[in-house]
Amino acid sequence: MQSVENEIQEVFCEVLQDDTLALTESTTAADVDGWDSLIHINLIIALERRFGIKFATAEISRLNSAGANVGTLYELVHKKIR
Amino acid sequence: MPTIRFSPGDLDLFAEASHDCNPLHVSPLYARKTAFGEPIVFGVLGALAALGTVPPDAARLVSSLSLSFRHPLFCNIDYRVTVSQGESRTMKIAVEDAGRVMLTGRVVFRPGQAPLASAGGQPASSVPFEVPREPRMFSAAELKPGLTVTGKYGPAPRALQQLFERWRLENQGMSLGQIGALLWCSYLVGMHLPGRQALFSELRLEFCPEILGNALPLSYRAEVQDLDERFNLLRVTGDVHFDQRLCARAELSAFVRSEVPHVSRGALEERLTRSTVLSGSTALVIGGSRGLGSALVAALASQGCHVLLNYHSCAAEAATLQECLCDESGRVSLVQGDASDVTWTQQLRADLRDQGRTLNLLFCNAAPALRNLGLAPDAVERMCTFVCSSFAMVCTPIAAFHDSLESSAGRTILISSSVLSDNAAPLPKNWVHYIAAKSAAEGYVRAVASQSLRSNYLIVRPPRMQTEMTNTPTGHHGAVPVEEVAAAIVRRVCQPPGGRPLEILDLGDR
Repeated sequence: MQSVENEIQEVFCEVLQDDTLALTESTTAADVDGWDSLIHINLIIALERRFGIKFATAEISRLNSAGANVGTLYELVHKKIR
Repeated sequence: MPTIRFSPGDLDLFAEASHDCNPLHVSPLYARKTAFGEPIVFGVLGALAALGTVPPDAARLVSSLSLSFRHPLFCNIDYRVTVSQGESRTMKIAVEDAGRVMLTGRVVFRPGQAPLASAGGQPASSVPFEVPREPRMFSAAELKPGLTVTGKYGPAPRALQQLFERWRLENQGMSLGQIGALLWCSYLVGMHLPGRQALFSELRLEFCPEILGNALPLSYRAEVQDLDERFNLLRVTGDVHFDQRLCARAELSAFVRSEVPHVSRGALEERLTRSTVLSGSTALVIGGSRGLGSALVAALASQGCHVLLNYHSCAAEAATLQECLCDESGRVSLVQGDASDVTWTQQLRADLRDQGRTLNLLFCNAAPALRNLGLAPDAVERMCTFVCSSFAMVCTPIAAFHDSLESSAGRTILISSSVLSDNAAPLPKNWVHYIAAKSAAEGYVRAVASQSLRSNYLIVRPPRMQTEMTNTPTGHHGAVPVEEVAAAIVRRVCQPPGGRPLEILDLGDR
């Protein structure tokens, strides 16, 4: 069974069409080529489909805010699928 | 690496062929007033052009197509196309600009041969059907799951043939009928669901085997699946039939661009007390017909100022605002012109002098449409153009009216941006040119202020506002109303200058 982190990684690779992408907890949008505001929407929707979850607007804003990173996303997804 | 480039004529040809006449693609006047500043290339046209760069192979047929329109494409830019082989019978296409991926596609083929376009088929014009000339406009409340549209569809035959030849689509694995189905996706989104406010986001089209040759027209049924209100993202599914047989299935998603509200006098009144401090003053607001400019015009008029509302091309918006403010204590006069044009600004200055008017306040608020640009050599020329055009909108009127404002001990207000605040959040990655332009304008104002003897300068750094410039799928997240910013600026202008020639009003960190 795949870990949540691996599944998130797969979603990112698929949406960003970059098989070489390697996420870590400290990765931020600024570190990833192409991760801009529109791609952020695609990522959110793809993650929701993959895990069968729904992010609230406040959570999406949190993921977008300064200081947010992939670790924030891991934490949020873990919380939702628990 | 192959490149593709579009001209306005390409957009017109696609509109004629597809019957997708959405003004975001075909009306420069309409598009100028949007966040994009000029017509954007139809997403499907971008994909067809990219497909045309693939080495031809007459022995395969497209069985499905997935497209993601990540960022808008514009005319007169060379876009690079990369094509890579995916898993079996799959090809990936990417359209790139200055290191940014603008459009991606995944094409799945099956063995087969598309009939030659020159073989023809049933001409679309032989079966009459009506196509709308104006796109529909649904409110979010109307775009409920289950909303269905049905009809007949066929591209305009001659234009379709021209499109086919223009982008070298022969032997690319698609019949005229398949391209017709693809054009229908553009037509459906741009003209029906959601219509006028559409910004196409994604498309998946699956073709049924052995049906779609060159035969047209098609009949269709499309249904709204949901509207994700967090992003105003509409999801639609549709079936395309020929001769009562299902020939393609589509899943489409499009952003529904929101309408930016007009300035609210009520919202201004809640935030700005009327006073007589500016009564009898004359203010020139560059770029005063929409957004923050219109809120500044309304706020100044409410304070008894005679406002010269400058606009470039939004005559209707300017006239409506003038009419709406006709009962205010301050008068609003319209002055059409390009603030970056030296001749025009000098003429305006001469006209004011001839009329015996003294200018007391100059608001430099105009700016060109902001597009994201990657930090890459390909983008340098466009960055320079943006910085020059943005800078000219500030330096030209200031140069023209500096003497007048010195005589009247007046004030110049530069609308800059909170991206230059000391404690600004991480700077947007693709806004290097915007930050450079705002920095140049601030630098100019600092230098001019240091030479002024009687006039004063105020640099305003507003936060992201709810304007057309930010009217993108995520642009309005966290944006503040223009009335709030205009009220804060005019409150400051109503106060006497603090004894220094230059002040900064930082509204970004509140």
